[in-house]
Amino acid sequence: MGTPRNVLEFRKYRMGFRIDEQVCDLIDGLSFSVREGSVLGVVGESGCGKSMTALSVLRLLPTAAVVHGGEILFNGENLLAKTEKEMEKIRGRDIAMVFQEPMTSLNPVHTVGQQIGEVLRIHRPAMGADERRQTTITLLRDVGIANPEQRCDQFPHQLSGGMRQRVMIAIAVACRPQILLADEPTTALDGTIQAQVLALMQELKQQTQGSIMLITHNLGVVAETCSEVVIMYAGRIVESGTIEDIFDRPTHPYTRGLLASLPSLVSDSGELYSIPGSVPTVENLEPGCRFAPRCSQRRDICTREVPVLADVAAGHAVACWVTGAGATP
Amino acid sequence: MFQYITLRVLKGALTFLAAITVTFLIVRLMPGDPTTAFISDSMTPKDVESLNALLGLDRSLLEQYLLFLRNLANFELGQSFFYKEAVSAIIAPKLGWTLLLIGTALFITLLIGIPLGVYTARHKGKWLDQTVSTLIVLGISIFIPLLAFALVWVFSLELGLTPVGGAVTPGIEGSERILSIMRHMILPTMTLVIVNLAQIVLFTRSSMLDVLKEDYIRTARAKGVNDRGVTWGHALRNAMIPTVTITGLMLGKMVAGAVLTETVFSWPGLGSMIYEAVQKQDFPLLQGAFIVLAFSVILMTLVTDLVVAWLDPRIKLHEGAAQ
Amino acid sequence: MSALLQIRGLKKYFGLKKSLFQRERGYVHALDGIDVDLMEGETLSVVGESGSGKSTLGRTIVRLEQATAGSISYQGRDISTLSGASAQEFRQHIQMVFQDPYASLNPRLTVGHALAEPMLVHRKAANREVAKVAVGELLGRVGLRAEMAASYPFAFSGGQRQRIGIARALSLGPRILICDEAVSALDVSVQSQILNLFNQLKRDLGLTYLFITHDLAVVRYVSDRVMVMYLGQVVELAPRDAFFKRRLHPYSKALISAAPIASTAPREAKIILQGEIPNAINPPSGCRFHTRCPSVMKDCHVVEPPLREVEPGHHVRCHLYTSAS
Repeated sequence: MGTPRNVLEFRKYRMGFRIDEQVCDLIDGLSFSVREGSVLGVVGESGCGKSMTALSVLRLLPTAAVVHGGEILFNGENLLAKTEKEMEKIRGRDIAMVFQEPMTSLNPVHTVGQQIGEVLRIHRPAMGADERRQTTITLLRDVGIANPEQRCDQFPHQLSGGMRQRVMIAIAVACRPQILLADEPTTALDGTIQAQVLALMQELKQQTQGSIMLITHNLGVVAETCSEVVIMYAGRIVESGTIEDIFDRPTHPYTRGLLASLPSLVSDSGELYSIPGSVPTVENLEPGCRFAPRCSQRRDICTREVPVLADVAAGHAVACWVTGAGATP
Repeated sequence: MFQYITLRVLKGALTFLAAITVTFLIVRLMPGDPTTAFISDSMTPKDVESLNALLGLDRSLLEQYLLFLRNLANFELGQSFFYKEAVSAIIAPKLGWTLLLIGTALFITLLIGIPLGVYTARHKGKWLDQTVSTLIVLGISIFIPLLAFALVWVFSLELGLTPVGGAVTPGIEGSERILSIMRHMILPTMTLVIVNLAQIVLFTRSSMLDVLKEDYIRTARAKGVNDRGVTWGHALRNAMIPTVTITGLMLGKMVAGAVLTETVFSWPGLGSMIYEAVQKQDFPLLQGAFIVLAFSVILMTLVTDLVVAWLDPRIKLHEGAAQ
Repeated sequence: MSALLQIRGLKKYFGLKKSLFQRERGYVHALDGIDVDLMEGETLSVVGESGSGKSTLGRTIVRLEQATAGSISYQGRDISTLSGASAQEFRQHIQMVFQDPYASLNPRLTVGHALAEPMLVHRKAANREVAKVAVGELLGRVGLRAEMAASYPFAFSGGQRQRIGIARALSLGPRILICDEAVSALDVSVQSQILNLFNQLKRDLGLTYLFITHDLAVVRYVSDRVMVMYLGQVVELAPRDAFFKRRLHPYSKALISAAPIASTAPREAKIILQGEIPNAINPPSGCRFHTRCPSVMKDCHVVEPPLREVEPGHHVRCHLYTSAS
C-alpha cells in the first residue's frame, strides 16, 4: 500500500503585496502538503493569508500580489513554473476551487446550465451539446438540486444561496478534479444549509476519491470535516497535525488561545479567554515570531528570531520557541 | 416581459406628450404678441390671417391645445412661413438624411468605441491605454464646427479626396448615386464619430474595469477560461448593460451635434433645416422639427431600455425569484 | 423580575411592489404574530436562520421599521405607535448595536464627534465640554482609551470599531440593548473579547439584552432564555438550561445538530434537513416547518399549531406536544 502520496505540496513559498511602492511580505517560507484522499483544513483569522494560499495554487492572485519564491508542487510538478496556457488546462479540470460568496460568484447573465456547461466545453471538447446537457443535469441532481431540468435553464438570481453554492460545487466537480480548494464555502450560509453542503462535499469526495483543502476560520467545521489541520497566523504556519493533535493536544499558544476563546455548545463556559490585542496588518509585521506581541509566554528570543516549524510528535509540528520541539523549559 | 414593454411604452408616450406640450406652451405663453415675432414685411395680410388661424389665436388656450393635438394625430404640422408648404412634407425627406447620418455615425462609434474601451480596460495603465484616453478626450473637447472646418480644409480642399458639401452630387442615378452619397458622408460622419467616441470608450472602459473586479470573473478564471473567454464571454455582456443605457442618452447629444455638423457640411437634414428656420424665424417649421426630434429621441431611449432588459435577465420582472 | 418589554401579536409585513396590472399584492411575512416578554435584567437570545424574522424583530422594536400590527409595550406604554417627540424620548431607553463594525460608523466623523452627537441631540449633555468628558468615560467603559476620541473610524480594527459602536449605543444610558448579530462579523479571538465586554457591561450597568444571533454556542454562553424563530414565528421559547438539555421542537434539534463543534469527541449523527428554507412570501400551510420536518405527521400541513407552554417557562409550537401531557 505505502504512504499516500502528496497531491499538493508547498515548499518555502513566499509572497507579499505591493502597497504604496513597497512590497510587504505576508507569506514567507510556507511549507505544507495535502495528502491524497485527505481533507486538509487551513485555519486562521482574517489577514492570515489562508485565502491567498489557495489562490496561489491556481495562480489567481490579485494584481497587487507579488510572488517571491518557493514552489507549489502538484503531483510533483511546480505550478509556479507553468505557463498561463498550461495553468488554464489545470484550472477546473485537475484543480478546482469553490469560493465563499455564492451570491456574487456566479455570472448573473448566464444560465446555470451554461456555467456548468462551460467547464465541460473547455476541458472535454469532444463532448457534444446533447451529452453536455445530460451531464449537466446529472451533476445538478448529484449535488442535490431538485428539478434539475428546470434549474438548468434558470439564472443565478432565481436560486437561493444554498442552491447557488451547490451549483458552484457542481461546476467544481464536473471534471472530477484531483483536489478541490474550498475557500470558506459555507460561511455565508445558514446553519442547516451549511450542514447539507458540507455533507455533500464529503460525499462527493468519497465518490471521486479526491482531496479537499478546506479554508475556514470556523474550528467547529474543521473538527467535523477535516482529517488534518494547518493553523496559520499572519502568513505563517504555527501548528499542524491531525485533528486529534490539534484539538486534543493543542500546543502553540495561539492554537490554545483560539480554542479557549470559543464558547461551547455542549457545556457551560466560565469567562471566555481572550487573546489580547489584534491580528497585525501586513504593513505592521514584526521581526521574529509574529504572534509574540500577543503571547503571554513570550521570551526574548521570540522577538528576535523566527521560530522553526518542527515536529513535537509524529506528524504534529509546532513553530514556537517556548512550546515547540527543542524548547528549553 | 410583456408587462415591462407596455409600461415602458406608456412612459415613453407620456414623456412625448410632455415634450410637445412644452413646445406648444413655450411659444404661446411668451410675453407679447407671438405673431409679432413672425410677421415680417414679406407677409401679405392673407398670410397674417392664416398665421392667426394656424395659431388659433382667436380661440382659448385649451381649444388651441386640443386643435394642436388633433392636427398632430393626423401628422398635420402646419405650414411653413417661408416655403409656404406643409411642414410635414418638408421635414419628411430631411428626416431621412439626418437618420442616415446619425445612424451611421452611431454604428461606427459603437463599432470602434466598444472594442477600444475593452482593449484599454484590459491593458489599463500601459502606454496604449494612456495614449488612447488622451486622444479621445481631445475629441470631446473640440468645438464641432472647428473640427468640421478643419476636416473639410484638409481632406477636401488640400487633398481633394472628399466633396466639400452636400449629400450627393446631383444628377446621378442608381449605384453611382449610392457611391456618391457614401463619399459625401465620410467627413460629416467622421466629425460626429470623433466627437462622441470618447464617451463610449471611457464609459465602456470604466464599466469593464468594474466588472473585471467582480467575483464571478474570478470563478471563470478558476474554471480554466482563458483571457479572451473572460473578456468577451463573461465580462462584456455585463459591462454592456450600463453602456447601452448611456448610448441612449448619448443619442440626444448626437442629435444636437448634428445641427452644427449638418450646417457646416450643407448636409440636407433636419439639423441644417433647424439652423435655417431659426434664422428665418420660420416658427411652424421649428415646431415641427422639435416634435419630430422629440419623438425620435424618446423612441431611441425606449429601444435602449428594451435592449438592456434583453441583456440583463435580472430585469425579467416579477417572475418568481426563488427565496 | 418584571417585564420591561411586552410584545403582543407583533406583525410586520413588507409589501411587494407589483405592477399596475397585477390583481393582488404579495407580502413578505417577516413577523407573523410574536408574543414575548423581555424580563428586566435578562439576556434573551433570538435564534434563527434567513427569513426567520429575527433581525426584523430587533429593528421593529427600536422603530427602524414600523409594525404592521400588534403592540410593543415599554413601561406600560405602547411604543409601536409613537411618533415625533415621544418617539425621540423612548429612544433613550432602547438602543441597538449593529453587525457590521465597518459600515455602522460614519467615516467622516471622529469617534468623539459620533459619540457626543446623540448626547447633544437629546440634551443629556449641556454643551460640548460636558459631552467630551462623558465621551471619555464611555470609551473607558468599553475598554478604549479616551484619546481615541480624536481619531477617525478607519484607524481602528474591527473589534475596536465594534466597541465604539457599543459605546455609541450606551451614550444615552439605555436600559435595553438590542444586539443584532453584534459579534458575527468579528474574528474568533476578538469575538470572545466583545462577549466578555457585554457580560461586564450588563453587570456594571444593569442592562437587559435582546441578543440576536445565529451562533448557538454564543447563545449558550450569553443567554438566560432562548427564543427560536422560523419564518416569522416563535417555535420555541425556554430558559437556557432547559433548552440545551431538552430542546423540544424538531427545528431546534436540527439547529443544534447542524452547529459544528470544535472537538473530536464523537457526536450523534447530524440531522440533515431536506429542502430549502421556504419563501416568506408564501409560507407553507399549517405548521410552517412541515415541509422540512423529520417528524412530520398527518395533520401538520393542515393545522397550524399554537405556541403552548408545556413545562413552566418552556413554550413550543409543535403538534408533537399539543396533545395531552
